[in-house]
Amino acid sequence: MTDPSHPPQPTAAGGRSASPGITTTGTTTSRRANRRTVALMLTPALLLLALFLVLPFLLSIGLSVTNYNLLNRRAVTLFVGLANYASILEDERFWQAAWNTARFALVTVPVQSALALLLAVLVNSGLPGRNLFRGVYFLPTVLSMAVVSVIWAGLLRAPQGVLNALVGTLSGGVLGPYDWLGDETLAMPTIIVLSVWQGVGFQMVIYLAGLQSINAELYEAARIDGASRFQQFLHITLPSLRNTHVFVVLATTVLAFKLFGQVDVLTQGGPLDSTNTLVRYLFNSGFREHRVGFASAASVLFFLLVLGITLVQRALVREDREI
Amino acid sequence: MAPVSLRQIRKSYHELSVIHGIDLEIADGEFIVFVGPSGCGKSTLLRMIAGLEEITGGDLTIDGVRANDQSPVERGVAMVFQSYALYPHMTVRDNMAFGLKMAKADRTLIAQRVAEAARILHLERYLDRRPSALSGGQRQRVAIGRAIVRHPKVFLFDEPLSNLDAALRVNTRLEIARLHRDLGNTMIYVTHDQVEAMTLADRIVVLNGGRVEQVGTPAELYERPANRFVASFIGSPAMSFLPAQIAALDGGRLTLALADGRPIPTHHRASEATRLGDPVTIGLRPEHLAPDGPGSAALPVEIQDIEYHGDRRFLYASAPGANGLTMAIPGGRPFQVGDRFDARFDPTALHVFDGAGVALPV
Repeated sequence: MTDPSHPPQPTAAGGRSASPGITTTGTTTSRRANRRTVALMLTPALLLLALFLVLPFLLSIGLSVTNYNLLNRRAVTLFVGLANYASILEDERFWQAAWNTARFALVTVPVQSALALLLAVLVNSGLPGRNLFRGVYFLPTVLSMAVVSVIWAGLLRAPQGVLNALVGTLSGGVLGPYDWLGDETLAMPTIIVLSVWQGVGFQMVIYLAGLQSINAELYEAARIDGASRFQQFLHITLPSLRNTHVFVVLATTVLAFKLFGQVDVLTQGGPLDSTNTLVRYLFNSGFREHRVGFASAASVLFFLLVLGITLVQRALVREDREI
Repeated sequence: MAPVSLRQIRKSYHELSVIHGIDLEIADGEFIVFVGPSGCGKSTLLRMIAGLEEITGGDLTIDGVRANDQSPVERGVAMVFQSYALYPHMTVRDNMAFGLKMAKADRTLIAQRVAEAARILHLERYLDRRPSALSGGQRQRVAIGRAIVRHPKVFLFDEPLSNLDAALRVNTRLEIARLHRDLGNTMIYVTHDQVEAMTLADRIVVLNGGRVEQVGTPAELYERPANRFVASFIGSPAMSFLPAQIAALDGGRLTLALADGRPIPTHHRASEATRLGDPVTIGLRPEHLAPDGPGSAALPVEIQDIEYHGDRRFLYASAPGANGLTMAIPGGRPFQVGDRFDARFDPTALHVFDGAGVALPV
C-alpha cells in the first residue's frame, strides 16, 4: 500500500540521477515523524475511550461471573461462574423486558425513520417557513428526556389531562377518558408516540444532510425523462439515500434498545411490567437491588444482543461505497 | 425532428433581467451552437428551451406548437448534461431505459431502443455496469444514449465535453458530429469553447450579456464578424487589434492612419456616422500578418514571445500603439525575442471597427 501523504519513491532512471540516498533518508525520517504525530493526536481520545468504555466493559465482564453486591460489602465476593447468566435467562421479568424492548424497537425504528424522511423532504422543499419548521422539529431532540417526560406526564394525566380533553372534545364525548400510562394496553403505545416525537428531529437532520448531498442535476435529468415528483422521490431520492438509510436505521435501533428515561419517569416499568425495558431491568438490578454481579451479566447479554442485531442489519443492508 | 423558433424570449429573476429578448429561427435538423463567455446566458437559454427554467416573456415554438408552458416530455426534448447526471444506482441499461419506462413504453420497444443506442455508441459491453465503473468518456456516451433512446424532436447539449480530457474531447466531438449526420435531428449545443462551436455548428449564435451578438455560419463569423466582441471571441489565437484614425474618405473608401501616422488604404466604406478623424480599431487575424508576407502594407513590430506549435509558430509582437499582435507562421526562418522588422499584411484582409466596436461595411 502506498502512503498518500508522501510522493511515490522515485523510479529507476529519474530517481537515481537525483541522489537516491538523500531521498530515501528524507522519506523515512518524515514517515517516522508523521507516525509520531498520528500517535500523539490519537492518544487523548484513545485514553478516554479506554478509561470510560473499554475498562468498564471489561470490568463488567469480570463482575458478571461473581456475586458482587453493593450493599453487602463485608461479604466475600465469590466466583459464581455462569450462574448469573443462568438465573437471568430463567427470569420471566427479563424476557418480559426483552419483549417490551423488541416491541418498542420494531415499531419505533420504521415509524420514526419514515417520519424523519417525510419531515426532511418537507423542510428541504421550497415551502415558506421551512427554516422555522426545521427548528421546531429539532427542538424536542435538544430537550432532556426527563423534561420531556414531565411535560408529557401533564398532558397525559388521567382523567383530566390535555390529551383526554382533546379526545373528548373531538369525539363529542364518545371516546375517553383514557388512562394513557396506567392502562396495560395503552402504556407502551403512548411511550412509543412520545419517544418518536422526541427523537424524530435527530433522524430528520441526518436525512436532511443526505438530501442536500444529492446532485440536483439528477432531478433535472429525471424531469427531462418525464418522471413525476413522486417518481423522482421513488427513483432518485430513495436510492440516493441508501447510505443514510443504513446509518439512520442502525442508529435508531441502538437508541431504541437503550429505552429507559421516559419509562422510568412516566411508568416505572408498569403497569404490570408492560413497559419495563432491558436497560431498566439491568439498572434496577444494579442500582436499586444492588446486585452488581447480576446486573453486569445482564449488561453483557444486552451488549451481545445489540451487537448481534447490528451485525445482522449490516449484513442485510450494506453501505454502498461505490457511489 | 422539428424546427425551433424563439421570439422575443426573455428571462428575469425578480428584478434582475438576464436574457433580453432573443429572436432565433432554428431550422429542422439544424445543428445550432450557443457560444459565449461565462454568464452570457447561453445555459439559461438552453434550459428555457428544455423546460427546466420558466420563460419570463416571449414565445418558444417547437415543431409549430407553442411550448412555453409544456413539460420537457411534452416538448419532446432530450438533454445531455455537463456532469452527465447519470443515475448512480442504476445500470447503464436502466439509465438509458428510464425515460421510456416513465413513459410506460412497451418492454420490447425499450429493449430494442436501448440495444440500438448501445450499438450506435459502442456501449454493448457496458450495459450491466453502474456509471461508477465507467470512464468519463463512457459516461458521456451513456448520457448521450439516454437522450437517443427517447427519439426526441430536439437534442440539447449543455457543455457536454467540459469534463473530458483533451484527447477524449476531440473524439467525442467527432462522435457527436457523426451522430448528427446519422440521426439528422435538430440539435442545440451550448459551449464556451469556440473550437467546439466552429467544428460542430451549422450556425453559431454568439451570446454576450444575455443578447445575441451575431448569428451565422462558422465561416461568416470568422470572416465577417459583426463587431469587435465576435471578432475577438471567434478564432484561436484571437484577432489582433490596432488603434487607428480615419485619415481620408476617398470616393467612399476609407484610408486609415496608424498610431505613427502611416497611411493604410482599405476596402472599407464609411457608415453614415463616420467622420474624418474618428478613432477606429483595425482587426487582423494571425494568418494575415507575416514577417515577409505578400501584403502591401507594413507594420514595424518587435517580437515579445514565441510559441512553438510543431507545424507552425505563433509570434507575439508589439507595434506602435499596440501590444499582443499575433502572427501565425510556418517553420522556416528562426526568430528570437527582441527581433525588430516590418511585418506585412494585405489591407483587403483587415477588419475595421468603429468607436462603438461595430464592423464597418466592405
